[in-house]
Amino acid sequence: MLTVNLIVFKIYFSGGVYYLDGMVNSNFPPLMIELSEKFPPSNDVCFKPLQIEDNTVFIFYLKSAIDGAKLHDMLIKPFFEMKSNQSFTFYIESLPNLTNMQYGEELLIEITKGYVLLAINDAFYLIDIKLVNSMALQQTIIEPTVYGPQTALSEDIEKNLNIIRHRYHEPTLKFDTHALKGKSHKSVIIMYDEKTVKQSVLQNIIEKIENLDSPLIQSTGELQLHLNGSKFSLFPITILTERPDRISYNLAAGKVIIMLNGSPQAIIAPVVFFDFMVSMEDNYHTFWITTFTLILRYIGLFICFVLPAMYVAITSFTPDIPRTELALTVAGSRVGVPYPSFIEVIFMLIFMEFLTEASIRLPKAISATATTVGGLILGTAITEATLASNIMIIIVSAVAITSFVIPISEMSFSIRICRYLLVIYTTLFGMIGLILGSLGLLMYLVNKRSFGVPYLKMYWQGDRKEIEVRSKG
Amino acid sequence: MSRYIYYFILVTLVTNLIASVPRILMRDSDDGVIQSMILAMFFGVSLTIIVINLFRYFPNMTLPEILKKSTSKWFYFPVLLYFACSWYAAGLITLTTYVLMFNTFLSFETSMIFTTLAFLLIISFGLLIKAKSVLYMTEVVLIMFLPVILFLIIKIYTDPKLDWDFVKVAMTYINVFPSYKTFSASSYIFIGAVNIVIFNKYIKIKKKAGIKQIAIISLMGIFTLFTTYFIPIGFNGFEQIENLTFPWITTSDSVRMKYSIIERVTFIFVILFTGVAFISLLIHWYVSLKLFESIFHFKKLQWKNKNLSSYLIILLFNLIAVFLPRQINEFELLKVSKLFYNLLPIFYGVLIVSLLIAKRRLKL
Repeated sequence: MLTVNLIVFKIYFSGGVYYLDGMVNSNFPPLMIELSEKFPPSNDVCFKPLQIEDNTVFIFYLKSAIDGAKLHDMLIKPFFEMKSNQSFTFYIESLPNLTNMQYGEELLIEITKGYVLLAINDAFYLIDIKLVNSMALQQTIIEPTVYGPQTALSEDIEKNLNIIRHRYHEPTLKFDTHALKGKSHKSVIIMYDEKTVKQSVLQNIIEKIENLDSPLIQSTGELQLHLNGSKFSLFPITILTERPDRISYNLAAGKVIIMLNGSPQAIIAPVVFFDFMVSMEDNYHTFWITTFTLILRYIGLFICFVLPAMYVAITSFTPDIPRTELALTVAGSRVGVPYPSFIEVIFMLIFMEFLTEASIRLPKAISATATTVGGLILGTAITEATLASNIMIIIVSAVAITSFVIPISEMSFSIRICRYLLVIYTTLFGMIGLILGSLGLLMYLVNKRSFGVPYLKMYWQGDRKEIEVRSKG
Repeated sequence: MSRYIYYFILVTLVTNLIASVPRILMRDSDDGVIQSMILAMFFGVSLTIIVINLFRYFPNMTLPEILKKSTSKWFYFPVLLYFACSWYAAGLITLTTYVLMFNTFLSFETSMIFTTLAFLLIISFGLLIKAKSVLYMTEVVLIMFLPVILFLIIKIYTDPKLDWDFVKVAMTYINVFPSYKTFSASSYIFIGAVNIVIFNKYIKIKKKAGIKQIAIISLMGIFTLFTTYFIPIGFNGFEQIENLTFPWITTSDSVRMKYSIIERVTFIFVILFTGVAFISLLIHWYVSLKLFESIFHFKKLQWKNKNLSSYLIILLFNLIAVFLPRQINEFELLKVSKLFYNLLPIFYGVLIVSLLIAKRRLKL
């Protein structure tokens, strides 16, 4: 029979003096003493020896970061069942969660992440038994599809890696771990298929991540903003996605995926403009359905961008462009509207933005009321009061609907802003402003680069050498 | 041959299809236009091919780089200055023509200055973008606009009001001896390819331009020249055609699309061609800016690690473009354009001679 003789030491540090509970053991490993000095006195810092007969080991961990039951099953119980320290060492060395030993500042960070530091004689081991409570897989909310996988990523990076591994069975799939410099010390994982990735892009991304210098980055959305480079950029140069199928699809296309611990979205880089117009649903339908929906989206994009400015150009500058009947209808519906068309357009567009913004922010139960009041009642009342023409209401609703057709919402936000710029340019210059303003935006997009890859250009199918990073996805 | 060279040629063809070239041709419609056009086609195509093939000896180099490497300053400075001014003038003529056209037919209540400003604001941004982006932009715009332009041209060709008898009348003048004016004007539409003086650095020309390329360019040229000259005659008659200021606008206005939202073809026509003209302007001024930059680099104009020389040049571009067109009317513009087109052989001569000198000096 074994005689259990467990003594628990707790070290409190205050004002430079150590108070030790219980017996003082002079054999404490110096590294652990040093560590306990570095942690401020906190109730969840645990530092204790395990002893049975002549065998003593020491463990150091943060109670709040680790899984207590796992610690018991994996370390404490086996220790008391082992014959000697030597067999316990062999046992520890065979554990799958054993990681490379770190020293200095990094060791501290690892311990806050949920690692246990174990000292057997003079050897140290770092064992991962962290407890993450947000491991549950989430439903796809941002990019829902009718067919295709319905679960998204989780908030735990290990689990996400597991999901991707099981979706993308290629031996060349590689995970690189980097740690962010700031206070969050989050681990960033850069994921790519070594066979298809473009090396220059990869280097560019790694460099940017290593040079990041921001105190606290909490989510991939934030990380994406920092990767963007310029402060005042209008269009996203990466895609945020929650869909594992989109991730594996892009991995196959040679893109780089960036994941952050604690964030249920991954960053895809580099991207081209056309990527924002693709929904994963496209892969699950037949060719003609896909083509049709794709064309529909581009028409939506065009309408949502051009229609308000076109209304200004046609009503205020060149009413003779549309056929006579249409011109008369437009003019007739504007009878009684007390201000020029551009005020009408901006006024109505801004009201629509209020409506969209309100229905996004409100709880679901109330948002239906907001849309009814805003959309139906305001729309009718405004035309009856002739503050806006009927046609304007149609245009505003068309614009609102079409802007939701763009599958990735970041792009739809960017287009929403560009719309105002185009309205202003058209208000200043008329029809020529409309044409040249659109060309100007096109030029801005063409001149943009996402990690060295042209943002918008004609990617010809089959022209492999020129494509390198395939579009789509 | 890289597809971008075809784009350059196409942009110039399309831009000049409805601008001042048809007007110059029609003013002398009984003075040997047909023979001039045939001659111009041979002249234009062969010079295009010669220039492209000469640039093959200098892979990934711009003209300033080539000349600076092989010749001394007293030679390359005036040559580059001449080219820079020519390209700027080419852009300015396109700009003024289209501003005049747009103001005459679409927004007649807007002042010239405003329409010019609408161009200049966007162009100034365009001049600052990367050279590769100019190439991509050209491609994107052509892919978007060309199908619609082709559709409209087919629409015009198939219109029942197009009277082929007038065309036949015009054809009877085939035996008249060519005139220099019409010859230079119709050669001008082939000038697109010379833009590789700058873009050669970003274009990879793999193969020597041969029979296939000659055939493609010639076919495009024949189609453009035929369309630009004979179609307005077919619609408006041969007799009074020389009195039209913008014969192509009048022509496209004869065609209606009965069931379309925009009934009069001419509006879509002008809008689309303005888009392509913008690209032509962008390319011309971009080349001009790069040429100016290569000879004028002010070291003193340094501000926060940025050299402001190019901004200064762009400002000058804009100032000239705002003030010069105010002094000019359609008739004078036509005279200036004619003068500019007449200088074309000199332009080609200087370009080819300087390339040959560089080739000999570099022993390629």
